[in-house]
Amino acid sequence: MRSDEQMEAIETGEDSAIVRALRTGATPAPEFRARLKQSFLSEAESDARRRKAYRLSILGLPRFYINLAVVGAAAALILMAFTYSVWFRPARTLETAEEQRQSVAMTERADSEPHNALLSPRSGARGFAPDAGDTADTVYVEYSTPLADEVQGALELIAAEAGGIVESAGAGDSAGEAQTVVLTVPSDVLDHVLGRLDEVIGTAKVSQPVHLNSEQVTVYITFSPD
Amino acid sequence: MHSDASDEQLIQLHLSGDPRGMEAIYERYFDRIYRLAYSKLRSTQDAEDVTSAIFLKLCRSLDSFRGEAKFSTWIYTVANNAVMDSIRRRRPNVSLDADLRVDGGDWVPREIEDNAPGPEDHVADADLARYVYSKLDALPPGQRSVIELRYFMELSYQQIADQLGVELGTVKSRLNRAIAALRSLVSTEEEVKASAFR
Repeated sequence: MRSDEQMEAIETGEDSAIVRALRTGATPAPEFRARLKQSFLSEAESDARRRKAYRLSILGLPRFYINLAVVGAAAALILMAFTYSVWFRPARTLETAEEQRQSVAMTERADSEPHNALLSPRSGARGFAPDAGDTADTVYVEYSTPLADEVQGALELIAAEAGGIVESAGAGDSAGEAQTVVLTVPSDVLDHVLGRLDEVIGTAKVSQPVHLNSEQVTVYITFSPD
Repeated sequence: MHSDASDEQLIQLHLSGDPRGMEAIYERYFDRIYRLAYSKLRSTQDAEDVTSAIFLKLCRSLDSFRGEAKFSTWIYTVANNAVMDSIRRRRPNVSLDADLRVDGGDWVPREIEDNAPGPEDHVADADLARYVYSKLDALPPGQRSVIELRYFMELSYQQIADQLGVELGTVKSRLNRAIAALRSLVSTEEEVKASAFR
């Protein structure tokens, strides 16, 4: 192997003229150098700008579309947070045989009751949308006293004050049996009607109404003497 | 400003969006690329055309530079390919052995145009250089590659060895033989010239 010194001697010795000719033999014109440099730098500047813009974006997508996607995803999350109960309803649990029997019995009893009482607290009905029959709020008021004539008159008076009607359910005519009176009044005066019942007849056991935003509310008033 | 930076650092500077990296690359490689192009094309106009094409496409070609090789060897390959393409495009698609038919129906031998200077032009250094360049085609490809990488692209012996995939000693012996061959070719022409004037 030739050492670097030997190679240097070859390049600087008797062959130096040839080596010099190779190194400096082809000299480009200064005008060409300047002209190409100008064009090249212009091209390089444009390429550098393009690369910088690409680096600032993600996966080569323009910034605008990335921002749009982020805003869209955020809006979707907010919408889902407000409507999760619609999309993620609780799954119906499996029922044992005993529970199924109770459920059937409850449905049968509900069918025997007035139609608009299906969504009462006792009905056990569940779901998001109301059924066609679930049109009225229902309140149960229970008195442990018999239905006296003056009470009947007071009920008619209260119904008239509230702009509603009163009717007898038709059961318990004989003494000692429970009697039911059905009072139908506008929903917005329900509190007033309950207050008047408390004032005129006395304190009673009142069930919580099921709110369905209906215009009418049905009050079942039961008189069951002990 | 960037004269001390390596080629790879300059390229990274450009890729990060700073065009000053390419200005330094241009200053560093313009002469080398031009010399390489001229040595193969031996025409100032063609060498300028190819050099322009190489530099104007260089920025966009950087996507194919993955940093696995040195930039100097990568750009040598790019430039060499561009020069070879230029040679293929300008080469007429007829056999040099074929004669030409003229209007009268006679066949005449083809006269090959030779732009290379003759021995009588060797007086000046510039002429010697052109003459030496014209003799490069006579060298075997291995020796010619070493000459190009050493004197045109200004690579070190080790870089040449890495580029060609040969031993360092092979590079040095090829270079030595190539220079000796060029000297011999020049000397022979000088003797021919001297005997013609006797």
